[in-house]
Amino acid sequence: MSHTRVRIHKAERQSFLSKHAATLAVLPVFGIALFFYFGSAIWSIVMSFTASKFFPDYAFVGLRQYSRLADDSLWSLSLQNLGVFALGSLGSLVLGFVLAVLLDESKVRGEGFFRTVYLYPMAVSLIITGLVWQWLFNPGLGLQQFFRDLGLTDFDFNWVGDKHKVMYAVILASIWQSAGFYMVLCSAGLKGIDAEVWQASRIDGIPKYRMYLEVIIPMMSFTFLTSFVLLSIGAVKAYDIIVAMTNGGPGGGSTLPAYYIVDAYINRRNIALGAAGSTVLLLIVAAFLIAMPLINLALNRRKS
Amino acid sequence: MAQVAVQHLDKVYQGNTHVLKDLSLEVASGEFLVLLGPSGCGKSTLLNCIAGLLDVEGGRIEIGGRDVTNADPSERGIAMVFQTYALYPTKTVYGNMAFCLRMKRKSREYIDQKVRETAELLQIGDLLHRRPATLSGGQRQRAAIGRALVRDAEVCLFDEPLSNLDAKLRTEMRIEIKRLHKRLKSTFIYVTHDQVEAMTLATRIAVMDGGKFSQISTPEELYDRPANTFVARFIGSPPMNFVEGRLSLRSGVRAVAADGTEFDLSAYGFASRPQEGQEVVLGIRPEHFHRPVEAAPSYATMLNIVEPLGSNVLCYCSLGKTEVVASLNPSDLEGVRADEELRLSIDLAKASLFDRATGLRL
Amino acid sequence: MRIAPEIRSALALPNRIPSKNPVSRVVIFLILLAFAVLFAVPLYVMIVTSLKSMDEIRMGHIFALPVNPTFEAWDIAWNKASSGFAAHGLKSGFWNSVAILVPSLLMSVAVSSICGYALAFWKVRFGNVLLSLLLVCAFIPFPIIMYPLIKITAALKIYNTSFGVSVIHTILALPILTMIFRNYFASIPLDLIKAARIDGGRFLGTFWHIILPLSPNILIVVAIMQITGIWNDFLVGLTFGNVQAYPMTVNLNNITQTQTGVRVYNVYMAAAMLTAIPPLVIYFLSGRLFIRGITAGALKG
Repeated sequence: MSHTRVRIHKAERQSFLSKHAATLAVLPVFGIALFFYFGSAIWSIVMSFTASKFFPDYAFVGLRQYSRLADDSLWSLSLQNLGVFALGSLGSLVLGFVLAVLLDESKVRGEGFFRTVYLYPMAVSLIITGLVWQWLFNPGLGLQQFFRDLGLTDFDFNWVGDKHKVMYAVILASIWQSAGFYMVLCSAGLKGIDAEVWQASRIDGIPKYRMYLEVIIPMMSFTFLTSFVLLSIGAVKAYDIIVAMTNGGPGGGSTLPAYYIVDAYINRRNIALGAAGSTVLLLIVAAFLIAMPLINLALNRRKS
Repeated sequence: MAQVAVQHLDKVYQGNTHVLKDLSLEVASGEFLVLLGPSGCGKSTLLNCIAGLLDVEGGRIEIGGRDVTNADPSERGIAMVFQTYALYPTKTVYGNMAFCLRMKRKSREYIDQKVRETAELLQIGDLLHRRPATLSGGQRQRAAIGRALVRDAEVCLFDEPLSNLDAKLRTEMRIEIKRLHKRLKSTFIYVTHDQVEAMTLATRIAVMDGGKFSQISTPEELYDRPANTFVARFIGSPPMNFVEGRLSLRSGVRAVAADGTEFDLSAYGFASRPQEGQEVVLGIRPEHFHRPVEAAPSYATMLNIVEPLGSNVLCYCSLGKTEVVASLNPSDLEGVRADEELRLSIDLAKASLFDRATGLRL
Repeated sequence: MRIAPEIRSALALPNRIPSKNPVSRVVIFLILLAFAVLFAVPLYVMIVTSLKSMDEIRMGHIFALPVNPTFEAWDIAWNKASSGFAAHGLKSGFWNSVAILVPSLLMSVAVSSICGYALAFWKVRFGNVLLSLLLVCAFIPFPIIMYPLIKITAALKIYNTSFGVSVIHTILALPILTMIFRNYFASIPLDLIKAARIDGGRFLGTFWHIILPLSPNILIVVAIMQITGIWNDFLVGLTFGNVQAYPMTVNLNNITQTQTGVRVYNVYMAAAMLTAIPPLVIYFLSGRLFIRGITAGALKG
């Protein structure tokens, strides 16, 4: 009697595992997403309403941290810098697109060589990017000196030392780093365009630049949209390159929100302030994520 | 003066793939010339060369009397309709048709009038503000044709335009294209692999095989008097039956098959003198088989398979050791069933005789 | 009947006819070449500077080739450079990076591939909800979840260890990797799975014996993506590691940011080269797969 019972139990147990194997496989990721991502985000948001400093303090203080943020000129400067940086990063997309078009147009032998060269900066850490470009921008020993030696005695390339120009230096380094990536995306978009559309344009006698303007670029709208999203995410996440290149300076001229927040957590040891900054950042990202599909929808509606 | 003239055209691809070999062709003004052939025969390549989308390695192309061999596609006075329509996806039908005219700096009024006229002609007037993605296959094809016609070119090229449509639409659009040709009276050069399309649309057909012209002739001529076995096999559905044999000149001209079956060729129009013992291939179309009338000579065949098609019946028979297909009236088969003997007579005056070695018509 | 690809390539109908005008082709080539030079400049400067002596560097000719190229700076960078805490060079950082990389790679690929497999083929309740969830997670900026993660890893006693860094890397990679695997597996014909189930295969069995052998490409692509991302990471290593566990990038930054002493640019550049070489080697060897790796991560939006 007991024999059979054991056997049935074993069979039942096996079928439970196998029946629910898929769910079990999914559970860890599910749990992590809920707990570590959403839970953490919610925790941070809650913390932003407290007076926590080095240690969490759960006393509710309303919007005090946010008003501190608003009063902190460094924070508003960081938001401003974020805007400048996001706009400047578009240069990566523009350059990437231009390179993709040139490569597509030329059918040059050694196309692979060029792609390899344009893309290698992606393989390298942003710390290294920041370091090398900081070195290039070195006033006495870098590019500025190089151009001065060539005769342009008043050439000023010391952007890293200038509070108002440092963001441009960071933008330049960032474009160098990511233009190759956007070239790859645009090349993929260009290759997806039907050869016969090009042939039709040759029969119709449409000049090339017109084709790009009126047909090709609109056809690549998905690629561009994806690129915008990725560029914005990249701008929001930018931290490493600031640390390596400028450490936020001079005078906060290159501080970005992510840098400010990490700095608040680690150096200024002010959890609530960091949490408040993070929440604002989250709102910016959320607003962006909501705006993108809406823009996409509006564009699509125009199509039909 | 021919509208389109191709002289000794040579096209070679990477390395040594000689795709077109010394082709010469003249297309008269107002003709509907179809380039017909199987995949890879070079018909699309020839069309693309005429269009200027491909460079040629040798020869000359003239359109309207001008030498356009090195001219840009847009300067050859041609328009083209593509297999995949190639409409500009982000533009409306109106925009697609107007694009080329805008580049030529025509006035707004002219463009508007031209576009609407052409749209009316193709019955897509109410689709002008839609984008290609929202149109059906047939509508897209009309839009593509519209974009080509709006240019008022003297020569219009078609590259397998109906291949992507389903059977019913294909028939509709075929009639549409024929109607357009009648109305516009311009020169059409049309590429297809479908012999039905070719036969129904063309004023002349150029059958291509391996980069060369196999025969250039009217549809009737190609059907009734194919110049070689390739054309004979390609045109006609069900295809022509072939019987291999030898010529015997003993009592009148006869073709004798290996199994002894004899075919009396005295009514056949020979183009050259028949030779005794010449190895030949006799081609008989399915509809040239009949039930014997009175005392006419007939052959005993074994009826194997019957395929009733409604208006006619396809009979797969064994004529001696050769399998043939005969197309008969349903009433002709009264009293005969499969696996029984079926007596058939053959209208040998309408047959085609080819030299077995060269494949050329005798 | 569309022209079949083989025939199309035999006919060599070009995707686009390149500009016939020879002048424009030369111009385009020159522009491409100019940009190639510009892109190469930083790497060139890095290499050249690392091989010079400080005296030479102080002369300020940044583009000049080294007079007496020497690997002395490299030696210092690897073995003796001061990172503010100790003068151990990058050596320890290198091994730390490796120690961080291997567990991260294994854990992230294992968990996300099985999860992606489950989502692609098996009916999981709320499966689509999870996918949308993961998509949102991919966009959540790191600083927002940073502090709670610190607290949790501290509670689990893995804070300030290289294993802790690995865990965080795994957590950060799961959303994107799961989506990538799921999308890849979804393109495998469903009939294969059904046949496997009829043959008696179950969840893990089918995964191991059937799905994995079909996936070498995506595994390599994901591996490249992860290796590059984790090796080049800075912030996670800085936040969750400690002096003994810092990856190479953190060491590099510490070396170059020391406030005391003379700025030794050749050592800094040598250190940068040492840190850059592993991912660069992978890049140059993997070529197309690398491209697929970075675009795979990006195109899930």
